[in-house]
Amino acid sequence: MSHPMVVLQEIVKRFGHNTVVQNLSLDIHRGEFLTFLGPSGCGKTTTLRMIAGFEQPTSGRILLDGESVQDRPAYERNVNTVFQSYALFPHLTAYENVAFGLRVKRVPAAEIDRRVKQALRLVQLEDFAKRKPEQLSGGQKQRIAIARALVNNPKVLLLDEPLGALDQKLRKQMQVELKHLQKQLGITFIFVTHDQEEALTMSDRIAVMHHGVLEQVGTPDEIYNRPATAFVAEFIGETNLLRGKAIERTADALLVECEGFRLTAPLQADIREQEPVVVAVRPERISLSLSPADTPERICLPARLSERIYTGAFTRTVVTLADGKTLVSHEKTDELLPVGQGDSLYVQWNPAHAVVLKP
Amino acid sequence: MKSSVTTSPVRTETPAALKPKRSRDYGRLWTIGPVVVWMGVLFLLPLLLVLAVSFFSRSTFGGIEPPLTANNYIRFFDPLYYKILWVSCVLAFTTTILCLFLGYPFAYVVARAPVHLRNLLLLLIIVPFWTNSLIRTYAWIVLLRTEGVINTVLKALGLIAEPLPMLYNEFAVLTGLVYTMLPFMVLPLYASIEKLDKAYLEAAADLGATSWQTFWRVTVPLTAPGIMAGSLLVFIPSLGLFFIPDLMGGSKAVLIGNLIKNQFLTARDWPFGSAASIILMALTLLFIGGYLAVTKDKEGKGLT
Amino acid sequence: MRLSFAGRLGAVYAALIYLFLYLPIAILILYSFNKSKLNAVWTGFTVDWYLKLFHNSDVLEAMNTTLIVAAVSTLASTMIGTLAAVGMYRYHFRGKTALDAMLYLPIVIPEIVMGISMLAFFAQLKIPLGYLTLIAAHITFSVPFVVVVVKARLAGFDKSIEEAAMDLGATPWQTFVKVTLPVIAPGVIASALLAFTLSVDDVIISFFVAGPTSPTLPLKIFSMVKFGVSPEINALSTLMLMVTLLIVVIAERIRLRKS
Repeated sequence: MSHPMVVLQEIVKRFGHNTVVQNLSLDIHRGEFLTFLGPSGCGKTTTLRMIAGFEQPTSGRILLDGESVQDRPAYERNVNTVFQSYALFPHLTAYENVAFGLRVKRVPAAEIDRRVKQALRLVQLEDFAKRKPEQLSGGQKQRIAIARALVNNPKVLLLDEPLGALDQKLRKQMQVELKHLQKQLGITFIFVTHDQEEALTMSDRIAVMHHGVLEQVGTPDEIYNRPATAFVAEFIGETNLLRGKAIERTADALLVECEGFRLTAPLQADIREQEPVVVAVRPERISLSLSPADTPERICLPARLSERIYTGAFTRTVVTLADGKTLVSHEKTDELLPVGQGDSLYVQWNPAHAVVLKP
Repeated sequence: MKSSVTTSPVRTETPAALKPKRSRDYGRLWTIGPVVVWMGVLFLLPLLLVLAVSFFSRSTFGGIEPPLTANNYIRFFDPLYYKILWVSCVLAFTTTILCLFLGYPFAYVVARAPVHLRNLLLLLIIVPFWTNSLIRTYAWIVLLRTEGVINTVLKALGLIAEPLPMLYNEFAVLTGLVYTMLPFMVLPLYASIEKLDKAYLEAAADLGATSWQTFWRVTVPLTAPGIMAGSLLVFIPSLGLFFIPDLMGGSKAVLIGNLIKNQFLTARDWPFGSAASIILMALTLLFIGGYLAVTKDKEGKGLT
Repeated sequence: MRLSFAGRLGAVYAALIYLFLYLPIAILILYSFNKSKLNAVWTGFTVDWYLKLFHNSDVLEAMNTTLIVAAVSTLASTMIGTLAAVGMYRYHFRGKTALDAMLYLPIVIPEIVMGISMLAFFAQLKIPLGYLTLIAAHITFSVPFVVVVVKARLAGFDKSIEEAAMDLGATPWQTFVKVTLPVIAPGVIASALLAFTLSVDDVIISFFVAGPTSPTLPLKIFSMVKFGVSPEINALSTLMLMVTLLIVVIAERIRLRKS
């Protein structure tokens, strides 16, 4: 009977002629922290708003805890939202903001008081109950917004870029707190962000969206190390993309030829022989050396050093291949290869760390 | 009212697919419905009625009757009538110019006054703006009439032997109009001058402009929206304020507002009065259209 | 702070304009306390004219009419206008531009055109002129102003707080009453004050739609002025000025506190 908490079935959303979400299907599990990640305009917020009930899907179904809810208005769905702008009611105190949902549901006064105080304690703002939103700092508003949503015991908590307005330091702190809160309460969190680092840090699973299409769903590790599409590879972290062609398909592997090298990669069902492909390699997987690799399995290409940019723990090193194509490598700053600009060197990587994708 | 707007929670037997659409349509109906019905029936319909009446003929007893005719409009080109329109326009225009010249330096000084004084100074402009224009007109009659305050004072001081005839002429009408309309000019001017970033003036000075050049080349162009809005807010009502010519101009000043009023109440020629109203409104819309085109103020924000 | 020559010139000029704006009104108020009925010579202080006013049944009747018309039309126009502003803010619908224009027109066209058009309308429908027509007309010219004022307040309104209310389980009606209305309340109150002043002060439109038996105070003043200047008119005008002043001060306090 353990059905998923939220099921999105073939969701399509159009605004006029503009298709914002294209045929999205996704199961979100009980107690999961799932993040919709993508650039602005990719349809992630619209998807969240459809789950909340602020938008109706043009077609498709939304199941919440097994019940079909796509035609129910927001106020009849047991989900709550933490808004990007917090959306605290300016005319009500922090306490009354948190109590709002319980009051409109006509919960008995004594219970309201108990639950509101508990929620305020949860976000450590018991002493700020009497303040109006304008008297609270950004981080405090944020916590009140979370308390206001959680006090209703929602089945799912929706968070629409809730940390976007906070400064860097507070943001990191809130990321940890939110994750901690989610584990403690065991509530399903659906989080929307365009910040890939935030998504990687907090999520159990990430759903990457682009132009209304769900590009990939997976754990942060899968998304980072085994991107399913060129877009995912490029959007999450930095990556090197090399153009090539699939030349041979065997039972479980694919032989790919790029300019200057060949590699074998696990078979991708939808890539056929003679089709163009891209090979994605993360900069930290690329190492630099003065002499060619000693093991033939490693890919090794001659190059020249073009540029080095110091970024702290690692240095971003740009090298140029014989054909003029540039690659980026992340070198440990205290183990830099002793070469200067324009010097010859070799770049090499383990083909197992490369991912073959459709362009 | 509450029960008709609130929708009960969805139960399984309710056709759920209809629910959200219905509740949203209720919202639309209850918010937009009343204003559309009210303004449609009591503003638009009467206006269309006047348009229709303007094409009828006057019946013997002051009503309207067929045949349909354009005579009411043709009649307006009789010198007797179009001169009234012309004189009204000239008077409204003069009022506008006088208000602008009196009001601009005034608005400028107020907008540049120290911040702690500005709210009070602004309040002192808003009070006359909200004050009944009839009472403000009456105040001038108290001053200007033959036994009025000015003549009494001048006589007491021995400056004049006979009272000056200051009321019941065009000068009096113009005084009344300028006095009544001045706040309508000053407020939009104040708004646009106050918004003006001082950095522009400093930049102009930095580039070597004298304060006179800065005024004409920077301040005036940047406050042009206020000038336009103020001018329109003075010009249009000046055309229709019939009681100022009535009370201060005696029988000498018949303006378009008085003409319309008389056709409806005294002469009981409704078709002709309607035609005059339509012409006045067309003229007004022409000016507003021009204003909107020049200032690109799409929502008419400067005027409201 | 020392002012430059230009600054001093400006201050003097501004003072002169304020004098121009206020001197006639000040004299009007002053003479409402003058004993002499006939001329402008000051003969002594009295409040007789005010007392006489309160024994003048015509004036009391007109006062009554004005207050009833203003109260009813303020209530109705504030309700219609506030709902309209909220609806226009919240929803997209066909004909929105046309509605905008229909609400914009009454503000900009000469009042006399509205006055005669309503007169013609009521006459065609054979509705006798009186309270009913006055109230209807006053609602009509007030609604667009209410919409403008409330809309201005809504312009700074964060739409997501309405969504937040619905998200927390409030129905659209509960959202309107518990969230939207309290937040825009200063705008609604300001618009009601404006509607009240417009109604109390209106001359031109009331002139056409008030029957001979139901003049409002401004119309009463109009007909009294036609017969000449009298201290009674001064007293009546002074009273009306005080009402306006009171309303303006309240409106300004709301505006300053909230902005």
